[in-house]
Amino acid sequence: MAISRIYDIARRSLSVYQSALTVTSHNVSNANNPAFSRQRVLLTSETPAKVNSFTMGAGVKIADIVRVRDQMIDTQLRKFSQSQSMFDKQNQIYSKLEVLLSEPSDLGLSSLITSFFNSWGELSTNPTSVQLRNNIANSGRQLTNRFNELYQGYNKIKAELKNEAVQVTNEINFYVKQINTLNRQIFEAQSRGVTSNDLMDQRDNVITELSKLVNLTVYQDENGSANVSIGGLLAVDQYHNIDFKVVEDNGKLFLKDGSGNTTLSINEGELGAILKSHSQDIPSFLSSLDSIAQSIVSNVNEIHKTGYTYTNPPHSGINFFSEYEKGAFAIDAGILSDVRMIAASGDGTDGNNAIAMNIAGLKDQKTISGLTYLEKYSSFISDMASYKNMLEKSSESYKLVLDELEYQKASYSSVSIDEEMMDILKYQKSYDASAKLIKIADQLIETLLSIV
Amino acid sequence: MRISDRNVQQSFLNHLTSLRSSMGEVQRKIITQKKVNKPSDSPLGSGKIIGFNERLKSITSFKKNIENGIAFTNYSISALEGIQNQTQMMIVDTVNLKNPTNATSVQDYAQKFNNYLDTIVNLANSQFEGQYLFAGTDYSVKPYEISASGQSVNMNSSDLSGEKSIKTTNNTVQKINITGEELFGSVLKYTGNFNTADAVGTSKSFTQKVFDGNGNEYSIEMTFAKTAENNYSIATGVKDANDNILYTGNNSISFNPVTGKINGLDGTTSKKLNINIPSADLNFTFDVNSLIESGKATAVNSSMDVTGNIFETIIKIKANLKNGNMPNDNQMKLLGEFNQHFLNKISELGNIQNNLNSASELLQREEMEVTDLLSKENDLDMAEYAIELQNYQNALEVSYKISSIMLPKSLLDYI
Repeated sequence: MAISRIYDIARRSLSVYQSALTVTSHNVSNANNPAFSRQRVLLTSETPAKVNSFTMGAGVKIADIVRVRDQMIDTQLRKFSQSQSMFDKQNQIYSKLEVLLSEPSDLGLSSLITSFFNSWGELSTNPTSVQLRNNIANSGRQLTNRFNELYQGYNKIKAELKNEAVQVTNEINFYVKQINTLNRQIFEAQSRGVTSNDLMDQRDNVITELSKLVNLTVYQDENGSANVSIGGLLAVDQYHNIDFKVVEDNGKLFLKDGSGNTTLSINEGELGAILKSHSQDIPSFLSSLDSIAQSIVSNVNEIHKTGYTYTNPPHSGINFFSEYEKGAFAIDAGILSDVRMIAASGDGTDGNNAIAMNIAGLKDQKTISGLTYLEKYSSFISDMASYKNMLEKSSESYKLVLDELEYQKASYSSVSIDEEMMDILKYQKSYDASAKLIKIADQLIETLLSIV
Repeated sequence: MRISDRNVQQSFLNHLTSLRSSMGEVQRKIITQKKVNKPSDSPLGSGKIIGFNERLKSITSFKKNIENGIAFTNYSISALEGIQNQTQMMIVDTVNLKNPTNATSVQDYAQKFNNYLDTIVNLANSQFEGQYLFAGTDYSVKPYEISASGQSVNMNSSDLSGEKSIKTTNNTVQKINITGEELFGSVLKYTGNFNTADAVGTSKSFTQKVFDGNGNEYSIEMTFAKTAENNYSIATGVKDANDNILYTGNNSISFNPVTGKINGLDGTTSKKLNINIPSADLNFTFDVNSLIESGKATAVNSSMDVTGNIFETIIKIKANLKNGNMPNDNQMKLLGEFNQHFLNKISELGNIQNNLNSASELLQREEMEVTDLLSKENDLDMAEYAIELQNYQNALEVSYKISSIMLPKSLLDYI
């Protein structure tokens, strides 16, 4: 056996431990990269050589450099991430809707409804009082303004959600394209026999980010390519990717493929929350507000029309409110310019307060589905608040699950500096030993040469 | 379990975020002094708070109504006491006039009665915040006015019977005025019920004495006869003391077969009929509003608070005195009747005030209870939340301290 063989084993060993140190340094430098999975060098002994009748070891070699990643945790993370981001986004949207209500406070609709009807009760004590009539006009104006503000506010949020849906869809398209590119790169690298751990990390990270936006399923094929389906439609694989777009149809938003032929079933992720809030929740809230406002307008007008104004001569048949349409209504212009046009009298005498009393009494009448205005509004508020509470709690509980999964993932895949330092020491020692081996081999040759 | 550097950082950050979020929530409650700042803080609680606030606002509104009602009745009582006082003085004067020694001062007494009339008409036109107290619901014109000749008191409004009511609770409406018709009108009021079982043709007759300003007696005879199911005819006759018929009339009433309440007179919704006989200076109203028809066989009664007209009576006494004629017994009896009537009305207003005060007290009590409930639902227990905040603060400081010890350390620091 030649001494050169020692050189050969030692040289290979130096190379292996240098590579191992490179991998370790790669790990250390990515210690704070959340998308990174630690990599491990798998060492194996070189194929032994047969020397005479003996089999002699040929040193060490790198069998593979693997990334440490648990696919099950990844799948769970994506699944819970879709739900958590949906609840979280919906909670954010509901926070905006809730703030607009200004409840419970004197600025809320509940207070203004009460004040409006109470002002009619107060007018009944002195129907000829211009101050009390002004009070009705003012409380009525505050009420109509509040309804208008609420309606406009909700519609504004709806319009913002539509814009947001377009932005999120652009983001989805961007991620889908990135996955497609990374799939190709991974395939090409693997075809050349090159490990593509970092590319796979990047792709998994993009998929995780995508799972925050939309409901998806991932299937990895035999080429290592990730096939991602969004809302039931294959969105991306190694060969192609789909561009999505948001389409508004009959006031509702839908996610469709580029051709516009296929409508995707989006029920999770941020986009799921946006589509649901835009197309179901806000229209339902507006409908509740509509029913309350519509009922106030029609019932007050119906009574007011039968009354007589405090003018000479008294007039009858006057509506108190203008027609209601989509949150827009106001006090009759004639009344606003002359509060004597408020019809408080039921028989034309100026001291009669029958109409004022009847309108004041509307507050306590169960006029909407067996409920008073305030009961209906309170039930609307409670429903919204309960639902928001549920969203908040669900978001928090899913966040806890996600945190736990992230913790497990970090435990399994992320870098421990302690571990890496141990590896560095280990590989350094091995490297030192290999270098020493070369020195010894050198000395052996020198010894031999000195004999000659 | 393998603990990586990220595990340590992540768990610290999660803990810190959760702690700061809880702290923020407690701080927000302390700043606003309220447990419920938005509906989702307590969905059930916010519904209750909205209800309590609505109730408090309504109570405030009802209390305002009651204050207004009490002020209105105070003014009414004051004016009525003035009228009753004048009536009392007239009674005294008519008694004094019976004394022959006063016979020489008859003209002075005539002037005094003239003054009484002025004062009573002025008091009858009293106002509260622009509202005529005894004008019913017609505030457009002064209700009573002495004619230029001084021979009559004209009513400027066609209807002084409007009732003024206010809401004192959600379901309670309180009448607060004494109408001009109730105070100065001669109203023949029918109460009780007709029996539905009565056969067609069954009749009931009523007779009521009335007096003109001179104290002359007249009788009103009214006969109700059942003409069909739920329908009755009314035959009215007015006679003088010599049985001369001054007025005859035929009217009809009908009742709602379901509720038993009266529909109205002569196919209308009106439940009152005014009968004016200028030749006898008689003007009275008959009111059938309280009549009902039911299966119960209770009696129908008629009543009349005052059987004459105070203004007519004073004017006639004054005119007679000017002519040297003393007030007669019927006129003195009428003055006594008026006096009692005004006292009754003052008492009625007193009862109204009592009702208003009772309602106000009940509202006051309810206001305290609702305020208490609202406070329990929404107000913050400062001590509790201050301690909670302190706990969070301590936990946060400990977290920072621990992080400063453990986060930067690794094997790297020692090699």
